[in-house]
Amino acid sequence: MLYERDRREVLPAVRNGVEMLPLNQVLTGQGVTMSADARGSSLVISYGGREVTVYDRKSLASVGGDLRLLSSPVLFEEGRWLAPVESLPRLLQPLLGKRVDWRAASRLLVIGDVAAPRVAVTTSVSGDTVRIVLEASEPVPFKVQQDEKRVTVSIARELLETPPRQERLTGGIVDSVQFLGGRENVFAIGLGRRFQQLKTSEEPARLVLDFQARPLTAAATPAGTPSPGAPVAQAPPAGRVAPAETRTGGLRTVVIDPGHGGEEVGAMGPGGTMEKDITLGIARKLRGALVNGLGVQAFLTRDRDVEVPLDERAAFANNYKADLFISIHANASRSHGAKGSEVYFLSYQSTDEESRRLAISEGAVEVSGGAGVAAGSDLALILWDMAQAEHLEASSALATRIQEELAEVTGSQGRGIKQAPFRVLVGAAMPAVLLEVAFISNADEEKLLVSEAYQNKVVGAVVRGVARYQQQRASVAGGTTAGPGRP
Amino acid sequence: MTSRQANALTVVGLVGLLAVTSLTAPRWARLLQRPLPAPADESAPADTRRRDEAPAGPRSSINVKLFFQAADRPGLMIEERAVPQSNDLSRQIKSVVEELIAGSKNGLAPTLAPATRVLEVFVTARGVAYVNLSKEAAEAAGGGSEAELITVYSVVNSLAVNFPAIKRVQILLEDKPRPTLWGHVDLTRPLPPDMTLLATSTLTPVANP
Ligand SMILES: [Zn+2]
Repeated sequence: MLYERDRREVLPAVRNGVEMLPLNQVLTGQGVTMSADARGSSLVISYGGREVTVYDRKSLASVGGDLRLLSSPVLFEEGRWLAPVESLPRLLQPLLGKRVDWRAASRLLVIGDVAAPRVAVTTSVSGDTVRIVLEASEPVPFKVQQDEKRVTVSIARELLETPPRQERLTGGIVDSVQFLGGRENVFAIGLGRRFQQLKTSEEPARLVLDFQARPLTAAATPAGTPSPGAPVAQAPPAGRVAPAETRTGGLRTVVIDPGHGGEEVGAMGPGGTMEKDITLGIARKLRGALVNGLGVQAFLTRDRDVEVPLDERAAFANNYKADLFISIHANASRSHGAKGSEVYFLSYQSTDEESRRLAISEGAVEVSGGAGVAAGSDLALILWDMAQAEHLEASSALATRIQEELAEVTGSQGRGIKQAPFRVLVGAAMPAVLLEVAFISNADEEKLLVSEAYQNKVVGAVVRGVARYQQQRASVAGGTTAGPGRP
Repeated sequence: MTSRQANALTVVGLVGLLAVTSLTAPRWARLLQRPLPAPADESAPADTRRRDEAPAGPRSSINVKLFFQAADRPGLMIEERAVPQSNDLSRQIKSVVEELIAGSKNGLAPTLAPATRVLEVFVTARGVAYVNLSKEAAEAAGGGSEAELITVYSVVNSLAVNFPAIKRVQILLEDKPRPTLWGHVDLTRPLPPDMTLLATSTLTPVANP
């Protein structure tokens, strides 16, 4: 078979701030059949026995018999069918049966397996060194950059072929290796807590990176301020670090998420108390108590009255490489009798297994860190949805410990550990729970929630729950017992 | 012109002869090929269909279980009600959600704002119902986790229990998926029913669909 490369410039139309491409122009030369219905309300595109149907002014498309959501509606305008650029891969890949990539950074829509330098990445560990080798099929320009959190390797080529890579390493020297893509074809290597220095050696088509660890005996407090604009950390008092380290079995960083904020006030009590204020107050107290009581680092996803999108909250915890994520909320029900505290962890549906398979079959390249997730990309969203999956058992254990302690101090019965599909927990790549401290919609509990004494009781219970969870983890890790399966 | 040029996208593709293997046509493609039902053509085709399929006598009805907020305690409770039968699953589902919006006749509390409209319902061959609601569905004050779970699962459970073909339900708002209603429950993907939200008391037992 003979392939010819075809490269065209196509001018997008912008509608409601979204870049749209005329489908007929995109599909020129692909041998598809397009037939619109008489009223111009739907368009069927067929190719090789497969079909995709799009509908005028709908963000839904039928792809091989199933509906898929698009990032924005398809528009039929003056005889042209405009589709959002971001959603083209999700529409066209199953139709054409070949890879379709939208590379937003380089503004390239790649259809088919266009020849490109191939880069293989291999990782090996020996002693206190992690070696990562990038091997290209032809000479390419490697550019290495380093900051406190990660090392990036960029290869400024228009197209690059590399197997999907999203690897996590243990041992604390290198935490993750992932291909972020973009115009510069960026590989990102997340640095672990034990990382000390990087040595590189380069040949035209080969780059060797040696990540060396600092000896294990050194104090393990991570250095540096993790990210700009986040002066919300509170470091443990220096003298306490070492003993706390042993006491909490390796627990170092907790991210606390005060629910809601800004315009998004959350629930409101009958006396006018706003959920966002209660959650921030408790979260600040909890930060202090965790730092002083357990000697860990603790960060807040917000330390003032500001709106923060849900996915950014989990991404924040991922960026800080938090060991635990605790989201604080106050509950509200239409039933005034509702009262008591609850601890939730994520309910994960079997459908996610479908998403996982889909993501894999579509040749996904993704990002576990969260920060690099392209918000508009369908594929990134699917993988983002999988971040919490591997931590469910630990999340369940953490929820149990915290709830046991909370029940002691709040005396709430009948409620307890629950599972729900809470969005804020979905992207967290660590054990994560959501705490409903009490019902703000219940007049009695509203009064409790604003009281310092009650807030302190709750905070004390959470700290004890976290400590017990961590002790249990440490002892399990020491033995060979596998954790029990989730009910 | 130059700035327009700069904004141009590049499509890199392969023009070539791919051996076109004739694959078996997707089984469900037929179902989804016709335009999605628009509210405008509801009356006329619906009437003809009814005449075709149920020639004489009064319209038949079916009994459905509707999930509302319990009046005196947290959780969902079931109210049974007869609704006119439709031979179109999407239309039948739409009528059930509209009954939910209309509220309880036995003193249970509502879960959706009464001004909410059901804009459209789509059902996929894989058993996912997409319920497209108007913005009023999200305009409730005081939405805490519990209230939000109750609202979302009053819809999800009502559809899953009454229609065995429906395994999961996704609520859309004004044609679009939205992260959550009030900051808690993930609406970016279809949800299976959750019967643990039923109020604890003596209830009509619900068979797991
Ligand atoms: Zn909340």
